[in-house]
Amino acid sequence: MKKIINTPESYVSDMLRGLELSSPEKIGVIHDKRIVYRKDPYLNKVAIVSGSGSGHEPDQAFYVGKGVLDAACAGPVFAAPTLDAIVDAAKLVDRGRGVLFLVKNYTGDRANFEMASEMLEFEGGPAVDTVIINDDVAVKDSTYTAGRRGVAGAMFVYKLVGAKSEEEGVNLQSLKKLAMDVNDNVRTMGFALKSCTTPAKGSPTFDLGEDEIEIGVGLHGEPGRQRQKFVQADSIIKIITDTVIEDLPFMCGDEVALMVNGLGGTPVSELYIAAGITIDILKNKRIKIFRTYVNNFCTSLDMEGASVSLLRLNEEFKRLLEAPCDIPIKYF
Amino acid sequence: MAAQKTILAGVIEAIAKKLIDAEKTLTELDSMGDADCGSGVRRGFEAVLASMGEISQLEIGDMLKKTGFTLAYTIGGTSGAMLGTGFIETGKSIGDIKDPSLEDWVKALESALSVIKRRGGNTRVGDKTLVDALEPAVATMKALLEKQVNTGGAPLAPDLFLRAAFAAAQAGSDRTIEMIAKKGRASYVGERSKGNRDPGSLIIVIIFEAALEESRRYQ
Repeated sequence: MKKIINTPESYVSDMLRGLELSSPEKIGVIHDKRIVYRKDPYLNKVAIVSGSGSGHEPDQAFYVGKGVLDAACAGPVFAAPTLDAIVDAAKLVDRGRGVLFLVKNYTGDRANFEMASEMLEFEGGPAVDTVIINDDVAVKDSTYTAGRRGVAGAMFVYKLVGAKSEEEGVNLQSLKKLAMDVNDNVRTMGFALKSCTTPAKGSPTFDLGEDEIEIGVGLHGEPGRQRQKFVQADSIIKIITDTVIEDLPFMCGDEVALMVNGLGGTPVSELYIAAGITIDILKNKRIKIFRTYVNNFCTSLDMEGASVSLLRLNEEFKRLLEAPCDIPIKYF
Repeated sequence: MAAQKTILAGVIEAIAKKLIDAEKTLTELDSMGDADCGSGVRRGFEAVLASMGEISQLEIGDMLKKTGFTLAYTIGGTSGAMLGTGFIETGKSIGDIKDPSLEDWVKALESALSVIKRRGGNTRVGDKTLVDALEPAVATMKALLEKQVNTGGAPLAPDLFLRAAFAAAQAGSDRTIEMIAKKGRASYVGERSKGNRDPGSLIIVIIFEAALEESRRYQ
């Protein structure tokens, strides 16, 4: 394994240190709890907090800042943040208007955020509420699984809810409603060409043959819908895009935001190849694209592959999508 | 007989001591996970023992809740969350009741079990988790209670209850040895998780064992 790491144990703390030193004016880090918080002064708004295992950067530590998240809790690589970190983060960023937790649907994350809410209630801490994000169409909802996972579509939830929280007089309940509304209108599907390698293990998490791809892969390399023979970009992207479109379903005349997200190990050039194909498909179906975002937004370390997310828009969503924000990953 | 509150404080202390002593065994059983179970549980129950002065002053519901939050807070991870949830939900269900009946206790444990199952991602018996020991223990207590109500028999002794629960938990934990893990990190190793008792299920066995032994001292 050749990686820019010192030791597997210091992977997350070294990453957070770099983040803090690179954006000292925007964010601060409480290192022993791995809490990233917004540094610019703000008052009289509901605080937005998210968190999950590390290894999905820029999700979500790098989305902390004015107009998106007020704090993020970074767990160990692919493991949920701890209860105490979530409790401390909520207390740190609360300004008396309460805290909204935005949590991607994974068992460990849900359990720890739920417990943190109960702990804060027991202690008489800030009022909190939680919205679970589950945009992944690869997993069929069933009573036997934890349900659909939260993946790259969560970025739209963070952005829109964060933007809304900056507006005057918006309370916890209306933000919760907005978050649920965004989640209801976003769908994502991903695929892997090659497994990721976690720093602790040092070898690929799962085996994928030279000529195989995993359709519907999860953010930690969980198996997807099907494993199939590798085919060229046009065919893969069509399967992915069609599945996303049919799930909501997105209809002729709908206006959408499109996100083509890299899983960490795929060149940006390939992501644009994928974007071109998806845009053609959407145009053919007369689905109107308001904005397209192409980059690594929510990754699985160095996994090769991508995901396609669509968000169905209304006027308010469009306005919130375009609202200014100031986060560490902004270009220039 | 001593007040239930006093007995419960003694039981919590006994559970803590027994689980701290089990650190090595728990760590060995967790080698398929991340081998942090034993040290986590020790850390958690040492924190409980350290706040026993405060915990023992609380009413039953809050005593259980405070114990659960202390555990969840100091153990961390999913095992901390699940163990903490057990105590917290039992405490929430008992609420303000000062002298809970056996019915109240069974109802409280049932509600704790159901939250643990949901929070663990719809965990079921057979998944090789603490549920494999807890569910049969709770079911056994419930069946005993229903039998007593239906036959109009004499009220059941708590000792009989705890003995039956302990035996059911033990049998359930034994069954995890041959299971393949379906939840948690041990599930990543699949077949290789076979042959090892689930550490979470052993924790439940030890909890019932400590409760049984300690409650006998008050008879």
